[in-house]
Amino acid sequence: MQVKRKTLLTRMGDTEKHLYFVVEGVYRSYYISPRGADATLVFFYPPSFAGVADSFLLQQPSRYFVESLTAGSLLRTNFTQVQQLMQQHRAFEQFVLGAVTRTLSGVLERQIELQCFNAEEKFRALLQRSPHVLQLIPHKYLASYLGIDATTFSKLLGSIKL
Amino acid sequence: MPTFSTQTLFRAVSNSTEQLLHTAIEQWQNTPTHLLEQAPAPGKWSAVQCLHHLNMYFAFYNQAMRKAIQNTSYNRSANTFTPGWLGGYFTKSMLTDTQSGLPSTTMKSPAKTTPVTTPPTAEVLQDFIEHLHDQLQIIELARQVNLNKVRVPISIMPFVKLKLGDTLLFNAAHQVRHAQQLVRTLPASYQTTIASFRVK
Repeated sequence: MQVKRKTLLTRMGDTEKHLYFVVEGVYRSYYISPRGADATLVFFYPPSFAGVADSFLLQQPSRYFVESLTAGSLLRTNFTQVQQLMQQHRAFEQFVLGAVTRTLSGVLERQIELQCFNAEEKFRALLQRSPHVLQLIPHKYLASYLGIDATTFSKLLGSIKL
Repeated sequence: MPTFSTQTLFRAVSNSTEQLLHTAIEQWQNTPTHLLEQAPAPGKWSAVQCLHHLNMYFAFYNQAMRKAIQNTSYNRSANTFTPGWLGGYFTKSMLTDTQSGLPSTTMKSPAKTTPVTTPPTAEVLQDFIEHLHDQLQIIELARQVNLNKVRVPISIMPFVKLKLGDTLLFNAAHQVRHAQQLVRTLPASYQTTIASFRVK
């Protein structure tokens, strides 16, 4: 499926029916707090799966939103199909287990960074992993992802460039 | 200006918004802050002042358009749009030359939206991006209503209401005009071309 920029794929409160695979474009999942603060959780870009993993696998209401940040295209399947494949093919079930385990490992690593790294360390880690994101994603979302404010982000960017 | 299709209008306004978003995210976000803050000549606006000026218009027009769309009874889209005489005049006065990107006449901005103190540059730029995202959503909402019938007040005289189609058009033209001005404040190596606004 093709999407335009800033298209909502998943809404908070909806049960995630779909599992996506990103062919083109950049996407993000985010949380809106009761006070209205917007927190970016993760970015999705090719080649990776996208969507809300826990809502999808548990078939429970999602706590998060998923939207496109650019125009793009995705492949999409649904829970029934995935469930069927897992039941019929052990290899597929193992694939899903592997993907979930790797995701969990990534989330734990990120939690450590958020708890223990200072703003500059987090910023440098991001730049080391994915320098191209600076030109693809609004810095406000990158700052939110790192748990720092936009002005600090901008200052860090300035100090690196010099 | 003569009558033209609403498809053409939406394409022109969407493309303009996309172009500005793309440039702001890829280029201006990554331009050194001091370059965005420097006045190109005494009394002339810096890049961040251009953005701040546009943000003030976004703040008024985005909520005004949403409100007008929400409250209208003209809930059927029309195939064609005919600019009103005042709306058409506003749009035309914002246009810049397609070759040079320069305005044909210089205009003074209303005192209310002339930037005096500017918020931190990072904030102004991120707000600009958010406003453009918001404008994209408003364009989608506008597809469901009649652009000729829905009316939106203008910022300088709220008792004057223009057609929604004209509001979309002159705002897009205004944004491009100042974006081109912004590009001219930057050193040559940081200048990326912004196409002049045209409805075609």
